[in-house]
Amino acid sequence: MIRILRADMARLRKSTSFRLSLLGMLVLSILFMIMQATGMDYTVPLSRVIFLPMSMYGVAMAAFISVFVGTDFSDGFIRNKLLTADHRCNLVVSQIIVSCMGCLIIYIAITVFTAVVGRFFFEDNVNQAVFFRYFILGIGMSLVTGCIFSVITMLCGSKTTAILWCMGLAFGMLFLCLHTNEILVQTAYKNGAPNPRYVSGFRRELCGILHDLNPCGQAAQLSGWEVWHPVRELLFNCILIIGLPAVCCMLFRRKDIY
Amino acid sequence: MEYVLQTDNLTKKYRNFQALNGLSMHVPKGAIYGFVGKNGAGKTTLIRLICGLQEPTSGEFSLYGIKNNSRDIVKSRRRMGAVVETPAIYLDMTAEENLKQQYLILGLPSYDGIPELLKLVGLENTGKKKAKHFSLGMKQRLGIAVSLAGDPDFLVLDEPVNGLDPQGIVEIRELILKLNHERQITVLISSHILDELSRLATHYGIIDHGRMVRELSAQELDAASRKCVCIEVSDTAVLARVLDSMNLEYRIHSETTADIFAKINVTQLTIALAKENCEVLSIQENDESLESFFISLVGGTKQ
Repeated sequence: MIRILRADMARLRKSTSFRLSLLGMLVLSILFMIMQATGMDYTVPLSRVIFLPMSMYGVAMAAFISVFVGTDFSDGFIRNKLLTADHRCNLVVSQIIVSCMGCLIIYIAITVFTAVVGRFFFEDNVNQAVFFRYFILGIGMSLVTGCIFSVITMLCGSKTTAILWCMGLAFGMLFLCLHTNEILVQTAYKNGAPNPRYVSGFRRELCGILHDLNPCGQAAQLSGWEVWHPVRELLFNCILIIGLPAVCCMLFRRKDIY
Repeated sequence: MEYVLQTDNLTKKYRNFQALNGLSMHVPKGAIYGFVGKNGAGKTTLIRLICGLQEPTSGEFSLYGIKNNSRDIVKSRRRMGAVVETPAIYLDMTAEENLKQQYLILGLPSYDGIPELLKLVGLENTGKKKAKHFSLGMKQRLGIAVSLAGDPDFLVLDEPVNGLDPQGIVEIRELILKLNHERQITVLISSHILDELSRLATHYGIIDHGRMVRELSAQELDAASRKCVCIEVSDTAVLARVLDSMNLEYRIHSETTADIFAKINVTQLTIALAKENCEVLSIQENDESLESFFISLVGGTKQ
């Protein structure tokens, strides 16, 4: 597996899709900062800006991974890898690790960039300890994003199909996150009267779980500087990071490659 | 005879389509094995199975004597290189970068062999040109170079000359012959360009509807498809006597038919036979090429 991993890492370094995604996220980060700095009447605190670009992180990573991993299938190089691999699982794990590495590099670069540049333009209200905790949660979010899209691409076995599925899912996750966020931010009382839009009981719990399971939901919580259930999020991320590659290994083992 | 690849009753079924139907084949060591069949006959399916891209539905195959269900099949596969359908190369990389990727996958300690490989396939001067800007022939040669990394002794080429111009076809042919003669690499080539295959192959396997119709060596094919004159006479015993006196090679089929393997003077032969009271009923030239031999085996019309 180490051999394939080294080859994939070498490819990641030169990958155009990786560079473009990183560049796209940088541009997005700058745009968000300009919008926040010029569009508000009040001084925006830095905490509201640091993770703001992460709201589009899922879409950018869907594009990056489906193109990066999908190229192995469209250009046919996967056949060379299969011919030399000891086990198909090695191939799956290697692709997932490299995709996650790519996601992680982009996440760290964008977050650090926004935090450093943002200090010059926004009110620095960031508590270092909180930032560190949220940063760690963001790493989990980024790894889960990498896992989800690389697993989908591997199982699609075609670049075009993978792009369609990954982008579709990324936007689906984004819309689900907007919906669940809208429900979860409602308070029980509004202006002293019970809020009719407040949802309680099982439905609220379900929305919370969906919000925590969804990497876009996690990103929304980070960008709002308010993570409601950090332990639950961590637990979900661990399950997904272990479970998704295991399922992918099982299914990919029997997959016909054309 | 030592075989590099043997398949036994190999079957592959996709949902509603039986691609391979109990195929048995034998690729001798050192051979250039031409795998002949119509489109959809099952050639590429077989190659996918032996490359580990797909699993057989039933039956088995062995590579260097190691069965496909053995754990050691992985080691056998490392001794082979393959170009299945399209060349497996990254289009946004240069020829050298593609080879470096393959070297990394194989875990080779250094890139020292890359210039030699590029020279072997005639791509040493491509520099920073990306593979997506290569001609079809160049891509095909790069695909072969990638499959040769790791020094395999069995090369599988699926339709290597498909879509190439005449110059490209000649280049690939010369490369295959060079690999077989100089490096003693056993080559399995699938193709339906029979004329091209007949210039290369030492052995043939003819496949139709997922079944092996016939396996034969080039010598056997030559004998089976030898240029001859089919003659029908009233008595082949007399014909044999006359042909012996003329010192001509022949083969008697029945009391009235025979094949003559030589250029004959028809008038001279007819007069000689007439003197012995033997009538010539018909004379027909039989020029059976690999193409017509193939058609006679699998049916269809010669185009």
